[in-house]
Amino acid sequence: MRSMILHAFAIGLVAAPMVAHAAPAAIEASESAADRRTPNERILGALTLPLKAQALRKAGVGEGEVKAGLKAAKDKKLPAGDAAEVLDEAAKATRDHGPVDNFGAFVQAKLDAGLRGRDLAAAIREEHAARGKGKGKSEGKGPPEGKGPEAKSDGPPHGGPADDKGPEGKGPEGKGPDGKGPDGKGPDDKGPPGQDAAEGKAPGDKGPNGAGAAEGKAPGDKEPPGKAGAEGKAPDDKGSGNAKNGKANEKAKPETAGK
Amino acid sequence: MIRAMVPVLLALVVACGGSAGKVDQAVTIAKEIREKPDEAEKILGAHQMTADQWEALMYEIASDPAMAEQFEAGLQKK
Repeated sequence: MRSMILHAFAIGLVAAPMVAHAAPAAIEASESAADRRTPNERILGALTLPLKAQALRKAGVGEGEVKAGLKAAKDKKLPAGDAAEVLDEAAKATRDHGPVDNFGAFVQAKLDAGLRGRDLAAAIREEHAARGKGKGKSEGKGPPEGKGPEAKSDGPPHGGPADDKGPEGKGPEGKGPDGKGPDGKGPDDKGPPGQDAAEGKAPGDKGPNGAGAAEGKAPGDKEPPGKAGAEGKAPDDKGSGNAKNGKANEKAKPETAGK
Repeated sequence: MIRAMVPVLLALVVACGGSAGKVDQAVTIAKEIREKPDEAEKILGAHQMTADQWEALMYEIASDPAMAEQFEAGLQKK
């Protein structure tokens, strides 16, 4: 009995420091990822920071926001290469979803919360996806209308692209260039399957075939009867598929055609 | 009036020249680093600069749109 107590005590003495070290090690894990870079990698990463900052400015983020984001990163002693990655992610997200308010404050908050590297980049992308003043909202960058309705729910709530799509206006899940939805076409599709979707027409399109009309016609749409939207999409309910090719702008403006 | 303005103008000239000099130096170093990425640390050393100083310089340039533009343009020049 006595020896058991002694053994337990000895094990406790050995294990206690290990337990004490475990928690800080976990906390520092994300920070040490940056430290694992070689000096050369660090220097090369830093080199891109001004370029990424310029890209962010060109994407449409205000100067104050860019500066605030940089200041937050610098204050937190974020390596310049990591800051460059963050700005790069923000620039991409801004191009896809539009700018968000208080970008600098958001970055500051996430840095305060301990986010770094990929986690921070992912948080920025999510923030833009959720609150970006999406360009798609006002420019008719709708989803491929030939899609089935279930595919629509995959899109981000503001109508911006869920992720990077191909240049041909493919749907959020990488549908083929024929613009078909996950099932090939939506339940109410008439006419050539998903033809408009491939061309990126907005919900208000008045195509001769009415193809791609399945996803929500506004009452004023001049589509053939019986092709009105199965889901009652609002006229401004655009999605992502055509953000890249810009054909939505040429073919139909939802503000005018989809009401 | 003119006499009063001279120091101000001089200060402006010095300030502008300072930032331009920094960007020029950064462009020179960056080009060398891009040519020989494996020797980035050595290249910085040759320019009497540490990695920390280089990062600070990159932060400074990135925070100033004019400097960042100048840096970007400088890198694009052959």
